[in-house]
Amino acid sequence: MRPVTIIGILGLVLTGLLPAQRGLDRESGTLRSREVLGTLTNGPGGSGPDVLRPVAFRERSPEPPSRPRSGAEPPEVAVYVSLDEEHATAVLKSFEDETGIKVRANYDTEDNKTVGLVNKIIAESGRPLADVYWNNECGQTERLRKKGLLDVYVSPAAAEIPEKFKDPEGYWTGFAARARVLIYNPKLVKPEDLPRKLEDLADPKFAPKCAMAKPLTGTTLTHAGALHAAWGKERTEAWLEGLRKNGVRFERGNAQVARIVAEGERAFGMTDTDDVHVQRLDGRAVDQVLLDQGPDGLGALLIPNSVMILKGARNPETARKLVDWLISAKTESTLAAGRSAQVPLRPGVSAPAHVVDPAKVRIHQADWREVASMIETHQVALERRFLDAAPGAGSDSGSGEKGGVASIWFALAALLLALGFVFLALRPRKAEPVR
Amino acid sequence: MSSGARAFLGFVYGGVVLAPAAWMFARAFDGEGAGGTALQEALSRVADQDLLANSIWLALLTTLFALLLGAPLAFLLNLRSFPGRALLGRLHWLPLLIPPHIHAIAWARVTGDRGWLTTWLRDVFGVTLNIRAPIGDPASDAILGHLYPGPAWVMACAFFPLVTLPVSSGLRALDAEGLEAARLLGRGTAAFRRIILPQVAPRLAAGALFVFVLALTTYPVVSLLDTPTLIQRVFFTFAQVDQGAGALLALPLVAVALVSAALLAVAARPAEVRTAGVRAPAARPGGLLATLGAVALLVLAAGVPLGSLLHEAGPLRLFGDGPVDNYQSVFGRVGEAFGHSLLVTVVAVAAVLVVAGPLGRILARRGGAVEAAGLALLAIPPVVVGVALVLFYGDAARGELPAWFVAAWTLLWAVPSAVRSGLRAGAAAGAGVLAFLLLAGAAGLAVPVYERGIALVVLAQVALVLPLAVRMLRAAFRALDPAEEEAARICGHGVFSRALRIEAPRLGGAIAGAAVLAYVLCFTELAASLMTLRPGWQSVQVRIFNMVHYQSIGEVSALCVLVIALAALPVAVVGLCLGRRWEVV
Repeated sequence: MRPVTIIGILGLVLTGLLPAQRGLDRESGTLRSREVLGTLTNGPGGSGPDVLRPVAFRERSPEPPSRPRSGAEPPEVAVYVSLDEEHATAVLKSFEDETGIKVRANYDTEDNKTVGLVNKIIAESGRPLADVYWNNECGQTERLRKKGLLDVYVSPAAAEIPEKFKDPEGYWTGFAARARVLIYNPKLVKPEDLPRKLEDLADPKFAPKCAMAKPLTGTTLTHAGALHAAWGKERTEAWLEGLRKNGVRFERGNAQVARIVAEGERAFGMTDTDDVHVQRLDGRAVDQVLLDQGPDGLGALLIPNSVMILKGARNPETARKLVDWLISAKTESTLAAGRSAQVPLRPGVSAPAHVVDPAKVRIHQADWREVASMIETHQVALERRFLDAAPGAGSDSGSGEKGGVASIWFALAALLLALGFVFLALRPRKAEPVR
Repeated sequence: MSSGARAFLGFVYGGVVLAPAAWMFARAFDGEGAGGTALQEALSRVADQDLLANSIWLALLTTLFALLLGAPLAFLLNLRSFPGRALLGRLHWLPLLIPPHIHAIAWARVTGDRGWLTTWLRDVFGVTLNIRAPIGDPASDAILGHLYPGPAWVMACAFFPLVTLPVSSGLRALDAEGLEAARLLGRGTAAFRRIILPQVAPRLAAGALFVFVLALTTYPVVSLLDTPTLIQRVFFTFAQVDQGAGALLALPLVAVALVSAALLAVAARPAEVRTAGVRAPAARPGGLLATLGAVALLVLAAGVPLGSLLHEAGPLRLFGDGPVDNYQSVFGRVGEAFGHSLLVTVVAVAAVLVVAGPLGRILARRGGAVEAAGLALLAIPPVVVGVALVLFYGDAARGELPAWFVAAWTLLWAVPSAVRSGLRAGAAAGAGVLAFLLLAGAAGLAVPVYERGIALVVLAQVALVLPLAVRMLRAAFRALDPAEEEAARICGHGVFSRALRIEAPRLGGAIAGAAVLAYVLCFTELAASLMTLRPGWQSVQVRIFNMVHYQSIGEVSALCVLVIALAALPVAVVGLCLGRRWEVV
């Protein structure tokens, strides 16, 4: 038999038998060609070929299906994690050891960050690959809730967590937070010479000593959203523009900010408490202060991790167990004592002395739904302002000014010239005789 | 070409390799992204910032640097004899074994803000070196403001062996007698200019074009060095804005790369001539100067980054009670990722060889157009390949692959074959594509591929490596003596018997070369893995990419050294076992 015949038969089998079987089941053994054709093009129940409609090789439903696993398979849970892998691995490993449930984790990358992972969850919404999402902040979590991609789960373990760190309807629960702080290098600046308020960072007397992550993702984006909610659009944009003019060095992420301050490239910078602590553990002489702690100050933003069960999770039982584990006092204590030095939200959870105590500092009281709404509203403007910024610079060079249309023409001309050389090289010719 | 062969080609190229990319672009035009504000935003920013101009300039500069590094090295290694030539001839592979992102990490330690070279230049000459900055001001300089020499140099260091390899191959294929005669008669550089250069020019062009395409589409270097290029924006848009907008944003990049890849297909034709067994021209004595020149080029491109990594990683302490060294410390953390990466690589290499063998055999005789279509894949950035696979298999798993796409893509493959070779040929080509689309959709193959395991990563790596492996094996098949096979056929040996007894022994070197190339490229691949990793799976390259942002540089450097060693190991083993019998054409 010729291979093409085999492929033809294979095609017939695949196109005919599988959908036809569905037709047979439904019609009690009656197989009609129109039915099969309709099934092929429009899914079961289709009445005829309509090439503009999806093929629907399998049945679709408007809601993501819940697909519990059979009991014979070993228990497992798939989780997406936005917290840095080095911090999260130990917690997930201890969950595995304690419960015997296998954890299949997928972490964000330093380029994708939280927004990338959230977009991935959105893209997978019809058929989620993960059961649980452990986000390292909660602004983007609200985005998922608004899109209807989360299941409600009120964990008994969440009872002691303050209400302001939980979703009122139970879609997500906050735990173990990080604070936005000013990291500084004591070799370059004295504590008394540091800015006291966020707005001081735009003060020319601090130029150009400061670094900050671009507010495009992660906690810096959440912070920008919180400032939009607290200050309003105009004041926040004026402040951000002030930062640019003040030569603030915009880095890719908070870890880089902490690193360049530790290495002495900048005297201070806005980052998260975990990044400061990691630098300390690596033997770098850095310290941190909380801004806006005055009587009329906004307070330091405390951004909790948030955990949620994704709608359509195929392992709902193990997902609930993982959520319970993550928001437990034990996990908060582990994260506080670990490299990320996260702030326990429960009162009374033991934490080392270097961890910020929320009871002793002024906290920026953020409404997370409003913060998420602000992020959604202003994200494009932030991207426009910061995405094209020249690398490692805080100057105006790249703030939307362009090199002119000429640059693309020059580039294309150079390309054509280069391709011309290639053409000449490829031109068939004989070797010249040597004289 | 038989109908079965056409169907197989359709299945592999039209289905496995190109259908996901076709679906991604079709989806982008068909979906909401095309008219959405996200796309308008993205496109307006491309226009504002001349990202395409940056990309083109960066690729041109990279090509120039690669030519300056690669061509002299090839000429020195093949036309001059000097002490250590054989060793350097083996070592010139080394830069290719260091993945581009590791080159970037290493060079950032040398020429970054606090790199030793930067510090030294600043202290001694007062010169400030910034690996990330353009030469001029992007706001006012129409050319210099778009030239980023740092990333261009890093990529040139990674890719210049792609110039050296074809040029060396061409130099070995030169007519030895003719060259000797020209040398005897000519004066000074006449023989070089009039005999050698015209004959190796096509290979030089092929190497340059290959480097240009790679520089245009490589993501990790521009990401790590924060270079504002179109591929960086494409990744950002894919990951954080809108996948449809990301696909459309990639179109100008793909178009430029496609033109270059088409020229590459033309330029690479002379390189298909096998050089094994051909007597290479005698090398002239080069003396100390040639030795120093070759060593300097290699030290500059590979020695500096490797030395920098070894220095940062610190000593390896296998014995004694001292503190745990960086190698052991980091291996404890990423051991699992190493295991996963090696598993993915082994499966991908096996898949590449299983598919590339028959393809090389089929295309050895005919099918240049199909192979050119395969080469077009080089023009699709790995980031885009990764996203295309996720979208295609995701949509197929959800049953959202529309009938119009299945019909249109099948016809697109069937009609050209039908026009050129008749209806039967067209039907065979179309059947291959259709069989794949139906397997993915109707038979539910897409579900396990999309949801679990390593299938997506493997598919991405196969798609990226297959065109190169096929080219190598195709050239080897062409060099086979058809009379031997014909004799075996007449004697009653079937296809498999002939393949095992006639072809395999003669193709050993080419198969080993293809396997090594596939291994190195798959093991060091990063950009597509960023997009295709499923929950529960890790990649050591992705770990490096993440760890460089927050881990101590000592541990990251140690990890990079381990990766390079693991990439080099099979190359060394195969090189020692087969000597010159294996080669990458």
